[in-house]
Amino acid sequence: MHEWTKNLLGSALKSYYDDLVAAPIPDRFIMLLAELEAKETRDE
Amino acid sequence: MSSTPSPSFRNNLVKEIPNLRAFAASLSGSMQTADDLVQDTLLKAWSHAEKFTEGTNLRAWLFTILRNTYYSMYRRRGREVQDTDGLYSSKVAVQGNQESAIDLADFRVALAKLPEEQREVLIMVGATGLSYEEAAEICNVAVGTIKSRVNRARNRLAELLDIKGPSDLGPDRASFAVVQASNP
Repeated sequence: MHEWTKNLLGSALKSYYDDLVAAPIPDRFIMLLAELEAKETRDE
Repeated sequence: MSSTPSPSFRNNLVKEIPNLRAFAASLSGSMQTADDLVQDTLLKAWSHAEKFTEGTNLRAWLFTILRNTYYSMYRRRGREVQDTDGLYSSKVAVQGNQESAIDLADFRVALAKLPEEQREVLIMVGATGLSYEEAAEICNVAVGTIKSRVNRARNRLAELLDIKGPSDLGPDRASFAVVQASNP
């Protein structure tokens, strides 16, 4: 495959992925980790 | 008694959430499934934190957990859901034509058509910054297998998107190629 084609596909792939990465993070994950941490602290 | 994960472990987990979601969405084709997968991955990572070796690649470790969870529990319901409209909605539609010669909507359709084993590997080495060696470890296959999957994925994408190479340049693609060359 030509380097040019590889680069073109590579930059499209990065744009695709970066858009997903840039999506705002739902609060549920931060809350989940905070709960897990609080639980560990209680259990100690 | 298991030891409490360190605050730095927790902070690093938080930092990996965007990548975990992006990878999970790429695997499953559904943001809802992706979020369930990420939640399971975080729970497993937390409860097995002592198995993570400090100084090794946390992303690779988390991707391994996420991928195993996907193939053992989610695959069947995964791609049936397809709520990709909600996934990309506003932002991406606008970006496509301006920044890349490949329309991103077309690219997503083509990417979704790849066999799972090719898509996941292409994303790992082409977008997430993982090495071929790390991808091989995550997928539990030889490095040569990863390389051949990446090559097949690229060839298939080029075929699906009808990209033949620089001789195929239209005016838009020619200018894009110039932009690419000056901004490596």
